Amino acid sequence: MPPFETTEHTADIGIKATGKNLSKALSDLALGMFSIITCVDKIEVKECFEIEVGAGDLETLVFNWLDELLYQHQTNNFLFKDFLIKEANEKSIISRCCGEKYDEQKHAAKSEIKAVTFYGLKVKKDDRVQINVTFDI
Amino acid sequence: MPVTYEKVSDYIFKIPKESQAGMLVDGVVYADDELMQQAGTEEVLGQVANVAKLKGIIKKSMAMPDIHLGYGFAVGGVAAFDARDGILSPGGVGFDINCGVRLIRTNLTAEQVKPKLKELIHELARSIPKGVGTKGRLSLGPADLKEAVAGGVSWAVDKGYGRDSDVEACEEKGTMAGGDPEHLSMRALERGRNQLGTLGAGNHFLEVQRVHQVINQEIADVFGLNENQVVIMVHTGSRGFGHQICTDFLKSMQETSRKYELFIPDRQLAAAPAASEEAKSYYKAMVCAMNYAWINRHIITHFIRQAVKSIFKGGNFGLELIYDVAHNSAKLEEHSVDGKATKAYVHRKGATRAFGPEKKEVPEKYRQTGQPVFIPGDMGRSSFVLAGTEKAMTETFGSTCHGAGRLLSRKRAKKMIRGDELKRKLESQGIVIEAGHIPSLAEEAPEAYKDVNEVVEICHQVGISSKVAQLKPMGVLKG
Repeated sequence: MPPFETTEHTADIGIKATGKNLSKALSDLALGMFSIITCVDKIEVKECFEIEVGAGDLETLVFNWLDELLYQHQTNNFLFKDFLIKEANEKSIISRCCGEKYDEQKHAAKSEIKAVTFYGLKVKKDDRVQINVTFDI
Repeated sequence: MPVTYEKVSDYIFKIPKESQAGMLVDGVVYADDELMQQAGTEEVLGQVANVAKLKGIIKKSMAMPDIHLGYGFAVGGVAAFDARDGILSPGGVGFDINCGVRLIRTNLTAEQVKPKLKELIHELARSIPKGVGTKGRLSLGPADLKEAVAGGVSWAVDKGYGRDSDVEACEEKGTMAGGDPEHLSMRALERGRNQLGTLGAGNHFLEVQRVHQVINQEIADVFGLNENQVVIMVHTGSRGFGHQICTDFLKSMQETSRKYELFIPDRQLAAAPAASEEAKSYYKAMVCAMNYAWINRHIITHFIRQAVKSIFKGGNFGLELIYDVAHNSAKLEEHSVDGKATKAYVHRKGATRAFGPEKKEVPEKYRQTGQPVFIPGDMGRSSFVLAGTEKAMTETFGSTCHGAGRLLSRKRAKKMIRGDELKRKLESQGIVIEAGHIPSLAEEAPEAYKDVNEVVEICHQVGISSKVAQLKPMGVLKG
């Protein structure tokens, strides 16, 4: 089963990730986000960033974590591919996220993500964890 | 929640405020029967109804004919909130603050440009940074960037970009009042440092077009347009700078909404009372982003002029800015409401200001005609030049549509056609295209959009803007 699926939104694009637990779902979700930006197969793991976020509720936490990844991507011109979730609960995510700098000779520039949105942002937990997020393209 | 609506006239549909709990005013959709039937309309109408539930909304929650699904506010939505007891909402402006369009006229004809069109598009592609992960030709540290967004287009002219005459020809003269760079986050300054003078990606573009048909000769003469003339249209916004500002305040206003006990039906509608410090802070930052976008399009214009001169060597090509309009904004304006002068924050998200004759906010040369409005269509079809009207002032707080409006999701568009097929199809029509990522081009296929002819015709029939000229693409540059 693929780690994530794209979902529909008229002008933009969403990702749905389902994992056996929150950590797996987050990791697949983030990979999905970067699959919108580039072909993730071409990203090598050369450098890592420690990324920690907190929030008052789980949806905002997911928003904040993806937003942080997007910010690092935009300002450091960095592509992430590997997401080690060291700790994830309702209030905080501690992670080490790895990848490499964008290289126009190597990496396709597919779409630009303007922002993470709250539209349809849902975390469903039963026997698996499913997260839906929509991105403004 | 199902949304009920009633047809008021051929082009006006009403969502009665009694039809949903919490609605303070009616929703009004400017559309025709066909547009109202189209897939996804129910959810979109739900968004129009949700906006009608926000505190201090005046008269109605409006939707232009190009309406489509957005975040909180639909794209193509207009709503005015009382400046004293209403709200200000970043979702009502959008992530791409001052995404907008400008039109530059030349004194070249289509016949003169055609033989060198491919070279021109290539030169434009070479000189204007575009697409994902691209750095601009300018890099500004935080202090310089603050100075830039406080000074607006005038700052850019002082730095040697563009012409003095560009200032007057831009909405708000390219420097909107009320900005304060001290309300910008370090993140916004960081994201904005390298992106001035860049086109971006997605539905942003630069098009070399020809005036296909003049519809209103009198107004076209004032705008400086005639048939077969070549014009250049630029569609882009405030880049990562604006996106970050919206994100910053969207996040903080989640808490602000709770603090002031505002009823917020959708997280993307998070807001602050208009008179609060939080709202003022957003406005001050938002205005900086408005100015950033105007500087961005101004610098791109500078690069365009250089490119045209280098390809068409010698001579004066005109290359004058006709006007520049924002289509994602919130502006503090004064409107007559039930005969009373009323100050309001007019949110236009995917909607263009369309001020009519005699308005002091409009450049003097356009005060007889009403301001120019530019409606980009899709790559394969037409764009339009319209004029603002007196009717718009009373019907829609001086607003009209902004584009064709999307019909299909990006996913669905890519299932219908491949990017390389689309490129070949457009090239067979004589359109030259350069795009950063060909597979993604399919997302912008004409079939993914509503018919701009229909959208513009509805606005014309309702009377909120009048048709002046139809433009057709000759060459397209996309990120």
